[in-house]
Amino acid sequence: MNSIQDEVVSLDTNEFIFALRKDASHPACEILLFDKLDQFKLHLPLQILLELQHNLTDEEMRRVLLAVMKARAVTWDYAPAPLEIVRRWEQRGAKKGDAVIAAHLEIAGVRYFISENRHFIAEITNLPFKVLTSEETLRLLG
Amino acid sequence: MNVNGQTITVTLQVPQDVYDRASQTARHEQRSLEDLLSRLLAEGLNVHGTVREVFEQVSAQYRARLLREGKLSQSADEILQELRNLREKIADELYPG
Repeated sequence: MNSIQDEVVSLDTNEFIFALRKDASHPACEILLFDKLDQFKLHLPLQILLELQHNLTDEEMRRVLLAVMKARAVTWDYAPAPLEIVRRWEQRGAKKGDAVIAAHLEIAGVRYFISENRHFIAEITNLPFKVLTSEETLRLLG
Repeated sequence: MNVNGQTITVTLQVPQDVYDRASQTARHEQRSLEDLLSRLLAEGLNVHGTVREVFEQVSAQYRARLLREGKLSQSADEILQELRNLREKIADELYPG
């Protein structure tokens, strides 16, 4: 078994949106979510849940969460990330929104963050998690 | 949801307590009992479906809505920019200052 399947993984909002839209320029998002989700131990932080909620109707959200529950394991984190950790990430150069995500991932011990945003805190080195695109993730899964 | 717009009328018997709970929930959600039962049935079936089946259904529903709203043809860059703006907006609300 590949190591990514043994680690806790978080999916960026853009993974859900591109997959649901079946965006032709990001086909790996659909494969990852629709066909590989049951291989992951998922962590869903508050910020991602709020972003999804903003993009989806109540019924769409409910259905997405039903699908997500079919992952190998899921943790839902409804607690805001601690302010001091958010501030620390901002001081390291992250924009506030990205700092919130980074803080969530750090305290939850998430090892992989899957995002189509190639610039996600790219300027910061020594991250406690690895940022992968859906395509890179699929390659890791083999 | 019925993507094709076709519906079938079904008559079924349910225990009184199930009916009472469903009626109460429908009232609470301000929707018709028929609408609630239809949704519950679809969601119940989703529990037995594959991940792809569940996602395919919600994807069809989502894409249909985006088409109605004129947003389905948005470019990937526009979507990413919108999501970046949304992230900052939510973070500003959660962590003002």
